[in-house]
Amino acid sequence: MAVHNLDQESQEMLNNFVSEALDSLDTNEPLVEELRNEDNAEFVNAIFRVFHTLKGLSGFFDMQVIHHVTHEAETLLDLMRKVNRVQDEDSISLIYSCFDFLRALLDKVSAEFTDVSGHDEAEDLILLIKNEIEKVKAGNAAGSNQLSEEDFFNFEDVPEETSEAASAVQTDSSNPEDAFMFADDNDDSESGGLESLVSDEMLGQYLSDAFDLLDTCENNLMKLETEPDNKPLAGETFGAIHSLKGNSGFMGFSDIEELSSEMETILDSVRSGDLDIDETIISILLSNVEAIRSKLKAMAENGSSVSASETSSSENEPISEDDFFNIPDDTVSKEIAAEENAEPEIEEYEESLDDFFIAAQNDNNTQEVSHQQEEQKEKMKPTASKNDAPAKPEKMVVAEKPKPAPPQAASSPRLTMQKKDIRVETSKIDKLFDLVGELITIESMVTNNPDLKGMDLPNFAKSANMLNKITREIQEVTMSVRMMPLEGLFNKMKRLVRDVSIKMNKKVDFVISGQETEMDKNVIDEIADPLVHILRNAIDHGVESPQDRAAAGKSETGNVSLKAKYEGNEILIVIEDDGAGINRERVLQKAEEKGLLSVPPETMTDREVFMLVFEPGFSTAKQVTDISGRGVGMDVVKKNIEKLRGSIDVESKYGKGSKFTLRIPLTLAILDAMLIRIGASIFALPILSVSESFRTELSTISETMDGLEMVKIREEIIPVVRLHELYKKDPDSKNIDNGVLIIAESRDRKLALFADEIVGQQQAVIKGFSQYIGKVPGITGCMILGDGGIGLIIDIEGLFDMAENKIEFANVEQYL
Amino acid sequence: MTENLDLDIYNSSETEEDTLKDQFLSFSLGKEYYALEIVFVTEIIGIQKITEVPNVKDHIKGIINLRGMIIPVVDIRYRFGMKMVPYNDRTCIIVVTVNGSQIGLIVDEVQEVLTIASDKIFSAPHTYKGSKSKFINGVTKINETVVILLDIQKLLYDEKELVEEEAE
Repeated sequence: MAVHNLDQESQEMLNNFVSEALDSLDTNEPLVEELRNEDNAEFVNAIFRVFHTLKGLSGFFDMQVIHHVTHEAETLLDLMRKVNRVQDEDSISLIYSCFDFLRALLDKVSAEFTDVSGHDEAEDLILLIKNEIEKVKAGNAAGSNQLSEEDFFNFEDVPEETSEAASAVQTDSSNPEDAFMFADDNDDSESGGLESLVSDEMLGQYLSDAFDLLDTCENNLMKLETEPDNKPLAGETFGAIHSLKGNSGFMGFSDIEELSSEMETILDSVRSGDLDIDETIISILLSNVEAIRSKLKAMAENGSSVSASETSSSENEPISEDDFFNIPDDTVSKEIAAEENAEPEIEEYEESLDDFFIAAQNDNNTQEVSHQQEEQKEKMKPTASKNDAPAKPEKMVVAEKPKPAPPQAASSPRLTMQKKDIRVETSKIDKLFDLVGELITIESMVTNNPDLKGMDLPNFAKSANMLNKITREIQEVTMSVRMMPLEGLFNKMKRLVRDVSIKMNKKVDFVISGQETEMDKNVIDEIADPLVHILRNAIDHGVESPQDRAAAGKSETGNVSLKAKYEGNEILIVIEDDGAGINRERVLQKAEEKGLLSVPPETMTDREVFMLVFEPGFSTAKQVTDISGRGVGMDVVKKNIEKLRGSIDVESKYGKGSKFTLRIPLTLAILDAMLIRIGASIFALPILSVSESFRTELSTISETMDGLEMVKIREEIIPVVRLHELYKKDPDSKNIDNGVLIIAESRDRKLALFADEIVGQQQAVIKGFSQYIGKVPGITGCMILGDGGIGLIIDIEGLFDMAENKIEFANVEQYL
Repeated sequence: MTENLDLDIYNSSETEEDTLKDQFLSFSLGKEYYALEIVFVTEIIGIQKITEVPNVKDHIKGIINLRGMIIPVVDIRYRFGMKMVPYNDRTCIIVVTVNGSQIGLIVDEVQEVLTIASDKIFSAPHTYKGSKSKFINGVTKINETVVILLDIQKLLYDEKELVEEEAE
């Protein structure tokens, strides 16, 4: 299919291809790491399949560069699975490079609709892969006598069902291209091994997608029957069946892949206008849909592909044999023309038009087409039998009919697949989220309505209570919709640590835990960058070189850990290393050079000093490396985390290591707030930050020489912050004994906040300030109060920082 | 031009986008008449309870709750350095959408929707009202009344900010 002059339909398909491909790369990348281990056969298989699928799809989309690269990568992986050994660093790096290259190129494809821009880089990569292939071959030839070089291409482990095929390969094993065509076959026979890779979850996802796609097809086909000229609809149906084909291929369900491939071919001709829709075609297609559906159902019931494969041949045949219809589309005819024996074929299938012959052509490998056609022609002739195979061996290798599945499932009973999920656009969920926010606000507006004040309404109170319960439940459920485990993010970090440590020549043992912790999807996206920066720094500046470590009496391998856990309404993400730690003196020296010191260094605590590394323009590394140390980054880390209303903390012991702690609120949207009043204004404090509140006597207040007020409670002296001064409000009274003191805590620091009174509690739906207002010092945002008024939400961290640094609010730079 | 003077301003949002060209919403501050291009105007509401936000730009009077949306409001009198007057039932907030943000403008009184052809707009004399002149796009005359046409970008953003925005 040519990609020039893309219509919307093709663009959509192409986008689907790109996102599917990227998905598959992301999902499978963690498996590369497993290649280091022994017993890696299933992982090699899985990665092989990634390249294989991508190769097929890119061939279909005429993405030559991707096609070539994946082809070579596939060859390499195939060799690897023959050789079956622990992979060394070079091969793993190479596979990673392939992933990276493909990912980058796919990104370009989604914008440029072609992959030609990656051509040069691809050449280099292909060269590398070819070298590696040679190396693997050579290494194996030396290391093992059981496998001759020829065997690599001969697939000696092809099971009996395809032994004829194997013998066929033998005849022209010198041609790697040919060897490739048979990869399909090989996969099928090995699906037993792959089976274990297909998790229940993946299968569930696949099934629910597949059922949806089938429904779409079915509905569209019905419509097409009445509107035969509706080309876009045909295109849409084609797209659906194409996705199904791709998914099935990926999952290794070759029978479904084939059935959908057949349908795809017909629909392609329909949408390009080469074929007019009539009742017969629709019937064929519908019966194919039915066949696929019953397979899927069987699969869903048994929880595996086995039964499906078993039932497939019988259900498949009525259509594929009786109603075969060969449709030449552009690709096919081109391919056929290219084939030496093209002419007789064309003649022959023109003759057979009456017979409805469906070419089960495989887009993955267009070269197979002619073989398949030949074979199918043979099937039309009742006399033709498989006994011909030895005479024309190359035809047999094409998987025309699903082979009986290897008997693997009996030993692995699966749970019944009933998981049903739908894909929803994030924008819809965001909208729902906003609405739930409104609902919570309105609910409290109703139940706290000023008109009801002082009235005795027991029944109303009861109903209001119920309403409250339900709104909270709705809120919780809505939140859970957006929650995702951190696993994906953490897996990416694994990869990062590996790359960076290799680049820096450092040995790092990286441990992750708590990856099952769930967070708001938006939050996960936002913390990715900060994590990258911190981890890079931990390895680049933290962990010492093996020599230095040995000299310092540490093990040569550095330890870096990434942990996540819940703590109250927050998630703690801790990145710890046992490296060199932060050198207080050097930080101070650097900060002075850069003019970042605002107070005398002697008065600063270690923590304050370490926090300087988050200042813009700060970098202590003696040498600027390409990984970290440009002085950008760590300030972005702090900024990003603060944007999430989170906080970051550093602990470090020089020579022993450092620990970065990120505290991130579970969700960005809702906050349990304590409402306080200062004069006419209502402010909201996050309840989690409030430890107690009380009225006090003037006798408990003492004043320092520079006018700082302190309150003494239970042997503790806590500084008093007059909120009305910070926020420039007129309070009812400026006498501390007339108002209330609220003890707020943040990271072991305490402040007594002075306000007029506490007016209540409310679940606050946090609303940010408009961009026009920008950042407001000491305030995170606002909320709508029960009476429709607006409350300002106090930024506790900001408040503490300002109080500690004694920033006069009046002097705060405008336009921050 | 006069036939347009009867137009109900509250229907302005129903007018088609391309017919908004040359249309202006006029309002008064004290005895003077000003006008804004109507494409920026989202709606007009009466004065509401304004929550002041501490430590923000001076001309931002505060924020209001417009059906669940939090919108900053700017007092034009303050912006023009005019004497502040107590709000009354004629005081209006003109909600405009500029650079993707909704912003409320507090004015003494909303007048009418005017159609002013571009050739009827004259550049303001440089000496005109001194400090205010930087907000002015031009002047026109409607029935012997001088109407000052405002540049909404300059009205809402300081020069420094506008430069930054352009740089981005």
